Amino acid sequence: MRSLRTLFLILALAASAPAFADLNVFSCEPHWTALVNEIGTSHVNVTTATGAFNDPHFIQARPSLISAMRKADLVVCNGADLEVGWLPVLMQQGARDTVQPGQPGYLEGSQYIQLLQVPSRVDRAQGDIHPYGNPHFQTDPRVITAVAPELAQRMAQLDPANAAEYQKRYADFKTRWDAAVVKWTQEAAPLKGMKLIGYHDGWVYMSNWLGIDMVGFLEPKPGIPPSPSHLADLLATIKSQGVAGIIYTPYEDEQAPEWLSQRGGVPVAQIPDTVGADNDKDLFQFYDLMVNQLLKLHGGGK
Amino acid sequence: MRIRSLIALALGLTALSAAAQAAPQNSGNAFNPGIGLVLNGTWASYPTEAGHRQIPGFMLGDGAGLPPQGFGLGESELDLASNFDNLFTGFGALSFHENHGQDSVEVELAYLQTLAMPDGFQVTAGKFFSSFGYQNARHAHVWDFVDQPLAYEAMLNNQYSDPGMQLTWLAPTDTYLLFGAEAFSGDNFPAGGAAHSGNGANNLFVKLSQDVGDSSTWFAGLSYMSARAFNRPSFGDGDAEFSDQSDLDGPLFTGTSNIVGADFVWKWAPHGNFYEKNFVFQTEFLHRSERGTLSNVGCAVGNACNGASAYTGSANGWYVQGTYQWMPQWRVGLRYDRLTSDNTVTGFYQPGQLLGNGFAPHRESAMVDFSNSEFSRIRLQYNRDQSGLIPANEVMLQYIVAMGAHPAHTF
Repeated sequence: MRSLRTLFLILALAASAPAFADLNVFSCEPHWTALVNEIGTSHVNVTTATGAFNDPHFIQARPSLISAMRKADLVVCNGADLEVGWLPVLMQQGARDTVQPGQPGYLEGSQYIQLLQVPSRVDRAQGDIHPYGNPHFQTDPRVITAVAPELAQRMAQLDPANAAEYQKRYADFKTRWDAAVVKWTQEAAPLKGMKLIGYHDGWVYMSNWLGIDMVGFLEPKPGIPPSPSHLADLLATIKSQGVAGIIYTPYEDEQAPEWLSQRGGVPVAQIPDTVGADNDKDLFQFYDLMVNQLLKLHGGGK
Repeated sequence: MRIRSLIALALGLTALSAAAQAAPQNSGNAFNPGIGLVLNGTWASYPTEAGHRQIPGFMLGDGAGLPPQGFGLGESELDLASNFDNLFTGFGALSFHENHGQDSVEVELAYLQTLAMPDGFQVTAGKFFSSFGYQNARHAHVWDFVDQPLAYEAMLNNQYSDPGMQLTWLAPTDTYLLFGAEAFSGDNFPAGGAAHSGNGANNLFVKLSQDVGDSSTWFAGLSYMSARAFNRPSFGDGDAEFSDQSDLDGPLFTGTSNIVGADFVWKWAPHGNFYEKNFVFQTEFLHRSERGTLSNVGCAVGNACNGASAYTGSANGWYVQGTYQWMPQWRVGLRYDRLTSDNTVTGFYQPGQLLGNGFAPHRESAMVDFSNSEFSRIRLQYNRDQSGLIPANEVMLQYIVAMGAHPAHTF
């Protein structure tokens, strides 16, 4: 009798063990994680491959990510070859048929927006360029606006039991989001025409959104680190063009931007290109941070 | 002002949502496989008195040896990679190199791999590198040194591949846990000969990996390879030069060659940001036992002559290496290699190659390399090589460049 009671106790404990999430999501970048969490809340379990502190081109295909891929119901990535150095290995070794390209379980943000800087000529002598266009598009919040309905629809499709809740959460998010985008756009209005120098050519969507003019990059060509002669050219650019400041992401080395800032006498700012570098916990806080940093630069770095 | 920005915003949103309906990007050659060409060339300098490649205590296969003296075209490859359909993906590589004026082209890899088996199973079929250990399946262009560790050179002919099949199962755990079994035809060293009913080498392995914080990942594996050899050829001790593969007139081995391997790798990069700075520690231990018979070239097993001797051999090999990328583009690496062997040969035929008991071949290596982009690398390496009886100073300069599509790298 006692042993039977023990057995029931064990069964009850096993049943009360943390339930598996309804939807396992593999997210390539933190901005997608934030968006999935907005729509999915407690129904989703998200693994994020990259962070605000690492260059999404160059992470290692860590085996833990293969394990996450094996369980994924949905893969969400920027696409456009941003993750070409590691995602194909994870897809191949995770060997999960429902998340292969073309399946509902595979979502590339790049397919739902208009990519900029699509090269007319593809030659690696131009550096590590992306033949489909510039994949660093999350620096424009309107990209989130464009991808979110598709994401909500996919989540509903893959997890029908919670479909109604996903759609409801998405509708609520959309209301708040559209208002926030209007707010950021207004706040950033003074930035129109501001000239900046970036580290990597990853800011074209932000500059397109806010009318900022990126007049140069620390990398002489995409993927090639700054060289002394190129920095000297940039110093001349700063003087001749009236550059307002220099920006770089948390995963880029601060030495060259700091050096250029001191020599050129212009402010420098570290501006993250995805969620989670500072105290920003969601998409709203991330774009708040980005706009504030840019406004600070505009005000002379104070 | 406010109205104008609202209009601009509305226009922007319209443009973006119009794009949302656009078809996925496709170009006319969208179905062509990814094609890549990797070129690997060396310039090497060795003391002339070193003569030929010998590692006392070991019979070396045709893949052993250093790059040729002076200028050489190393293991270069033409890769094709694509999905066949929704169930299968595949990879093909032709490798070509030049050796003493002879060009050779061979099928390095040609395999298909399943994408849609249930429950974490995956099958690979074709010709592929065995997943034995850590270093065996790594392509030559991602090696951290010009040459393979001595243990791989002596026991696996640098890198073991053959036609075969592999089955793996990835456990549904957060910790990476992979079990695998492989069966190969067994034509190549450490197997050899074709009389195995088409299955002369098998390998079992388990691999385990975990992330530690956001900066480190460790990866460990255990492997057991069991190979059968029939008249497996080896280098002679005559006048062969480095890596002269035509000189396989050494002892022929018939018997079993069983290898146990343990490997451990630790990769570290602050916040996982590999591009700026990283450190990789790698070590492997291999234990091999061989048992069978030896005969000289003129007296292969099966021929009517009495030249065969009984042979049992026990060998250990290990290496430890570290590479440090202290800033983008630049890395330094150090490696230490060591082998030991204990061979017993009973009979009239006593090949000189196996008279190595008590001698421990070892080597210290240092390298520095520069990668202008992820598609080009130039490396300078120095070996203090005491794998032979005469210590040798070896200097190698290597370039590795890749054009076209290039498959993503495994961990």
